Amino acid sequence: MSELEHLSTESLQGYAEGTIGAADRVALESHLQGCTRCGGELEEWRSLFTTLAGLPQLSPAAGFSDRVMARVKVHVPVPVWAPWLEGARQLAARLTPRTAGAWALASACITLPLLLGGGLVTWLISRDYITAQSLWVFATDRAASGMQSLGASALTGVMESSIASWLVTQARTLAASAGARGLGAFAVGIGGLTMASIWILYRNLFRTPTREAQHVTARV
Amino acid sequence: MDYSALTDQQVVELARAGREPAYRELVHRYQRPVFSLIYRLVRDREKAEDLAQDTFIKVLNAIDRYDPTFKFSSWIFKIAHNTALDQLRRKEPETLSLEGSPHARTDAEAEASTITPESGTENPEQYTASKELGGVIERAIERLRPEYRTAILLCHVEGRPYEEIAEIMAVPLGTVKTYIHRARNELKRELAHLRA
Repeated sequence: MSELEHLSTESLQGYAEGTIGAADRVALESHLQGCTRCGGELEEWRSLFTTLAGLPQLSPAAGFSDRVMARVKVHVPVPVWAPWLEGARQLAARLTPRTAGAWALASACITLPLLLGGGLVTWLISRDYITAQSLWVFATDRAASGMQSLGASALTGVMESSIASWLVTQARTLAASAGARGLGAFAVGIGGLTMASIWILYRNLFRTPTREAQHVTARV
Repeated sequence: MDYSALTDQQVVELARAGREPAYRELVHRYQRPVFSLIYRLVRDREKAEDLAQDTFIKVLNAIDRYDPTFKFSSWIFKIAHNTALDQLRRKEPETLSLEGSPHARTDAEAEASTITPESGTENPEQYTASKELGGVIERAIERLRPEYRTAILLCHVEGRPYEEIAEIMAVPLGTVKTYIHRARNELKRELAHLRA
């Protein structure tokens, strides 16, 4: 680089702020040693940078922090279960009766079965041949057998349904033709379909209402 | 707890946990840089105080939504820059006030909020010269376009790297380099008469 080919302002600024590479730095310093014009310009840039870096920082008026804090709402972390609690509270609010008549009806719905059940139990215990213990054993035994029979009938219903029999037939055919791997793939497919069905049901029953419903709500 | 010894990220975490002193620490750390940047952009002390307050209120009220993968300084400067630009778009102010704050209630407060040279070792002649130079360069910066002003102030006064300035101003890195290069050339031209 001859003295006539002076350094660009970009190079001189980069050199003054120390952002140029080592190789360029050597070439620049070599040129600067023999070029007073570029050396003078470099000093001008350095002087400007020093002046800018020395610009003072202004302080806002006293009490700035207090004025800010007076308008800031300090963030209170929300526990993970808070939305569930809020949902339960809203549900309870919706179910709570609002009129005297509704309260009377709700009270009757709760107390009448209790009164009738209590009266029945009292009458039974008052018999000589029935004790409280035997009544409890009888009730729990009936409840357990009832649950068992309900579960068994539900399972039987599923197994005897046409869909279930079709699935079993398909599974048997697949096991005979494609072996355990095919059966596994079939099971994965059925599992995926089941999950998709559950998701679709969930979306339709519990998720965001439709655009039309929102529009109606907004208009109301 | 000594909040001043903590990093920005640590202080922000404490603020997100609901610690009020952490909020005050963030205001304490950034009130001067944010106010200085806004003041030099809008050139009106009263308006700058209002905008600086708005900046902190926006930042602190949204502290739970702050993304810790970004630097806190970038976030607050970005909001300060945008708040000031909104003001500039609404109305271009007429005057540059270098005097004390209008909120100052006493002469001492006004003096404390006036621009003063940072070095305490200057003799009276140097003080006067630097004050004069400071005034000249402040007026030269005032004449720059707002985007050049932000870039040059963040680069030279706040010492932010080009990449962070690009993030703050939401422009490409090459644009930031162009802004700074042109701003420097304009300032050098403006200050040429002082060297003559």
